[in-house]
Amino acid sequence: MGNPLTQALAAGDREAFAALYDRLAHRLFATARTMLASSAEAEDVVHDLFVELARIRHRLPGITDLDGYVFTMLRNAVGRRLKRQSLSRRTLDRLGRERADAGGFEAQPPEPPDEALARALTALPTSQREVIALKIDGGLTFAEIAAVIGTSANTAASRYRYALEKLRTALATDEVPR
Amino acid sequence: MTKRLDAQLTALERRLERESPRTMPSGLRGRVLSAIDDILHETVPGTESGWSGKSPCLFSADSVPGTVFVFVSAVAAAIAVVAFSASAISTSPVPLTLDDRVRLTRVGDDVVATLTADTCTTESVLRPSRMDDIPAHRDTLRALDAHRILQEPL
Repeated sequence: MGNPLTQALAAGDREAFAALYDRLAHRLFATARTMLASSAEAEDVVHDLFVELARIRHRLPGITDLDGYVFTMLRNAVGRRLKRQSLSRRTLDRLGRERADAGGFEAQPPEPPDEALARALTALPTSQREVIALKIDGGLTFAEIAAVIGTSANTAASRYRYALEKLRTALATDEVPR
Repeated sequence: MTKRLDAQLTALERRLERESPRTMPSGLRGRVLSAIDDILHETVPGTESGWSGKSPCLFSADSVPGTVFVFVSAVAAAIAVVAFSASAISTSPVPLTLDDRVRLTRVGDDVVATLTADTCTTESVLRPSRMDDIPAHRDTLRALDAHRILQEPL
């Protein structure tokens, strides 16, 4: 007998999807936002992820760790977004430069509350930022993170520690500590 | 020394936790469940799952014969390249399906619309406009709105 939740999801039970959303969406959104440095992009990723889950619902009864599976889907979706973001950013930069050259305005994205921290996070390598996001925002254990990113728990923990140390160094040189 | 470092890292963890979003975007839950409803109610007779797996994409390989598909794909690719590289002056309408969405980003006075075609090969069409009715914040619109915006002359 499988997991009742995955069985209900596979059967197309709307309430099961609502329950899954209520349980995971906040952590997924927070993780995606840290990874993508964008609430709007994170919102899209979470939306698309649940839509995809509905589309592939018939596969879900075979999943033993649903949360891990969903976070792995999130990681993959974020990875695709980051690639696309890189392309869009280059295009937006070009457009912004063209507007500036023509006497227009530079793009002014809204600043997050803790600007220095956001800047330091963005400067981290993706592999370290994702561990921070999965741990802090996703609330996953190192064992769970290891399963999501396909490494050992020790590696995940080390990567997390390196990331924190790198953040600390970046913040120390970048700003007055809070 | 190690204790001091540990304390600093712990403080940093707390700081990261404080910055983690506590609220969800308004309306996201409703949009997600509405989209799921749409999928759950997609029924095609004769299919085990109730979903044919066929894409509603205009350029779906399932919907046109092979030779025509190759031709249409080539034309679509050419249109995408032209629209992308000459986005500032392009005004040709972009075919959309109900799953397509457009992200609007303000760049100075202009609004850049980035099209994400979920059901087609992903492509981006960037197009500046000076439409007054586009929201000042980033937003995601459903296909009908996107269709209206991209069909209108800019």
